[in-house]
Amino acid sequence: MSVPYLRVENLTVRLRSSDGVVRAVNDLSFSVARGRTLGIVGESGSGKTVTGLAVMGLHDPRRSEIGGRILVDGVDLQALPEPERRRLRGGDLAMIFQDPLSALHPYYTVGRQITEAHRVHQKGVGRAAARRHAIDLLGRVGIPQPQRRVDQYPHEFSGGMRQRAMIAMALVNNPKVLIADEPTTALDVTVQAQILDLLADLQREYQSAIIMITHDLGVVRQVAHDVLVMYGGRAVEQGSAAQVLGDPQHPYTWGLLASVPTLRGPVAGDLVPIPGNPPSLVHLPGGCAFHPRCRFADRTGGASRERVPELLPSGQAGHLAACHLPAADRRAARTETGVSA
Amino acid sequence: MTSPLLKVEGLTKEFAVRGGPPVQAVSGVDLSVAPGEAVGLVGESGCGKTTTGRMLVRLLEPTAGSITFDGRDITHLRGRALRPLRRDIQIVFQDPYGSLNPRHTVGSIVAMPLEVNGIKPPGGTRRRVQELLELVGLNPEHYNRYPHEFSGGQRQRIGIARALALNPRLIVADEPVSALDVSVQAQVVNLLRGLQRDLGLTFVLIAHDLAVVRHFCQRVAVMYLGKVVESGDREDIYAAPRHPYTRALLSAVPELGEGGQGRIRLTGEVPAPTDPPSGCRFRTRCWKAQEICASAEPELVPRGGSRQAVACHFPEPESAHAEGEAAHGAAG
Repeated sequence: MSVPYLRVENLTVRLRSSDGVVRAVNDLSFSVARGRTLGIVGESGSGKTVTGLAVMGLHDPRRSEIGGRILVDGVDLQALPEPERRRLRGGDLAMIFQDPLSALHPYYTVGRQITEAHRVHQKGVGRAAARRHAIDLLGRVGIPQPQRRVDQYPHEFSGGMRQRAMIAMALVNNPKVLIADEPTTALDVTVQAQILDLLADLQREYQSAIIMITHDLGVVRQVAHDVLVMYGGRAVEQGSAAQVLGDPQHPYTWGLLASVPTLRGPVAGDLVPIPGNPPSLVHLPGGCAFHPRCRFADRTGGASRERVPELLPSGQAGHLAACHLPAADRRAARTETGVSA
Repeated sequence: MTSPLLKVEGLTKEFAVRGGPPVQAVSGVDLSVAPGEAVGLVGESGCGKTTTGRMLVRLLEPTAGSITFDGRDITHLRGRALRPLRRDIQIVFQDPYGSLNPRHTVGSIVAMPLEVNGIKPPGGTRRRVQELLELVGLNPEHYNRYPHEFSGGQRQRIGIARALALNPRLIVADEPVSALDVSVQAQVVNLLRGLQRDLGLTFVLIAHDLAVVRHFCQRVAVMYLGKVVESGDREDIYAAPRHPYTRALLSAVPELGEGGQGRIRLTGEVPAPTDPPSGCRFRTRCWKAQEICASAEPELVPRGGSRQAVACHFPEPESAHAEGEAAHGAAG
């Protein structure tokens, strides 16, 4: 096992909003080694994007409270003064956002936005060299005619091309940590396949530690070495991809797996949805946040209503789950959901 | 074979572009939907599936071709003559946030189609609206609430209740679940399946998610750059796709389970619809393309004894699995 390059310890994020305090992330810990990909899975409002923004240091300090430690190569980012953090951001630490239209500036050409990120972080890189690099990167992310495209504005790009341009921008300084927040959700499957291949190639080349934030379990299975399942701002299950997807331990993970339609297997029956909706992070249910939607909540002797379950070893070594359901009853319960091991 | 409820022939839509050639968004689409059937229209952005759907419900005027509904040509109905058609054909939109007026209560949103058409249901409008809310799994007591008080999945149910208000025979659903969380998406897919089963409704489902379409539709038409390239029964399309594009599309979906055919990596972009390639429109990205593909446009017909229609000069064999590796090698 390689040494983790990024380590997040007991991360807590509170955001002030007009509705009250949003408890967006609670006591979250994970680590990613270089050359590895951690998939963070969860539905809207589970805290996955907020986690990515916290690692990047992009939350407004006037409206947020961030607790815990975020260590990159042993250095605690929380303790760094802002100018130092800024030096990391866009350099060693980069993020691909879900919505390229709001992440690209409409007034500047795509090329200018890429070269700016390059030259700010690497002093001494000339204008011409930066431009050549930008053209090269645009070509590598699959944009046709990069020499021409480099001088165009974001509105002249299609959605898929904007996403690729933003990926080029994030990769311009060969980041050691790359946070990709639903990078392919808005894209067509054939474009998605191209982008995922591209990220894998770049990871091989630069040994980046990648956090892939997504709701798509198929994407996670394809790219992630490790998986973190979030619900209501907490990790509910954590382990290697093989463990979490092959031997899932948490009823929420079972629910996600059972509700996804597939391209193979029988289609006779209905899908098995999770009843209800994801909870609001302002008014989280007491106890286990998943208990109002959990069909096994009444098998925990009331514990699921009273206490937040701890993240404990479950299944094989390194596999963690936060569930009150006794370990002995887990397998039988999972069989009831139709999710096989 | 029963006569189709909806029959579309040569449907074409051109959009004028200032100072340039027109964009042909849909170019000669043929489609036939039997009563009680769900047909999926799949393809990537820009393939013309949404434009096709909007022509079916007559929100867009077709440039050419014909739409026949229940034996009647509805292609160019106008004004008053469209009214009865609007009762029979309804649409469910993709965006559960943008398609409901935030200033109207759920009750008045769902009642709107009744009012517009001057329909007084027996037992009153309110009673009928509450029935509809119950039918789509919403609490009928929430009649007086506003859209913002509902989650995305619930809003999509409101949109479905509104579409059902006039007892339509055909519903065109344009990406009805793509904006929803996965756990909620399954709820809405099940609801649509239930409506098809219990009310005998006919559906055209427009979606880019091939797994969702597989779960809901008995028949599938795959579109590329304004044309249907392959159509057939669900079982055939998913088990043995014969058009190279269908194969590429299916192989690009990241899957949860093991197995699957080798990945086909499509390169390049979809060509601009202002200047589509000659002959077969997919040929610029196709690993099987030869001279004939540039000179002659392949017709959408059943080939080699199989039931599914495929518009390709070199379709995959009926059981594509054996040949899969060879094609993959050529594509990669």
